[in-house]
Amino acid sequence: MSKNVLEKAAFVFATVVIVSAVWFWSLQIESVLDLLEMAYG
Amino acid sequence: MDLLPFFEWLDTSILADIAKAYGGVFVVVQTFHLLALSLLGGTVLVGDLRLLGVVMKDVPSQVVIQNTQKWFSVALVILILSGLFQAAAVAMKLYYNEMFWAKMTGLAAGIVFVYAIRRPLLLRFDHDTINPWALRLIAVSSMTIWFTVAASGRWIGFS
Repeated sequence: MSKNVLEKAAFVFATVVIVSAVWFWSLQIESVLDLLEMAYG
Repeated sequence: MDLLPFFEWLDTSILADIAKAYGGVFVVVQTFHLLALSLLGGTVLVGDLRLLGVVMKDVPSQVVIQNTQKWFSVALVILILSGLFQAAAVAMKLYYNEMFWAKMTGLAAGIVFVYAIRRPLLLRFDHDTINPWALRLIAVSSMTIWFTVAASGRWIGFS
């Protein structure tokens, strides 16, 4: 594959990864906060 | 694709018998799993932080990537083999654990990313000719993926 194709693939892949990771970890943190709220009010 | 038959097979395999019957063997394998995780994390951090210009600025980034890629592959093979052995002990429990699938998704994404994009781009081409933003995004997304794989693996124990 050419450098341009790999660079474009890197841009797309990295964007998808970062957006997905932010969404995924925000859900996990939210569930932990809900759990703490249930436990301690 | 339903992987339930594979997990049912793994749950009754000789690997599961050994993992369940011999706690000492399980612990030794787990030790190698954690050592390999440290090695993988180290190679990822050194390579990606060099791409971001944070560490080892006096060494060309291409040299750092060349030297860390081999150890990354070694660590990945040890991680997969030792992980398979550990998974055999609790195969059915893992099959129904959402966090396990999050980890596997991250692992699959990481392997595709490293061997289809990161490695070909960073090993074949001079880093001075690569778009600097591509290098930065590769570094950040690489650290994000492998952090997610490691942390979601730990999270399995809490979920």
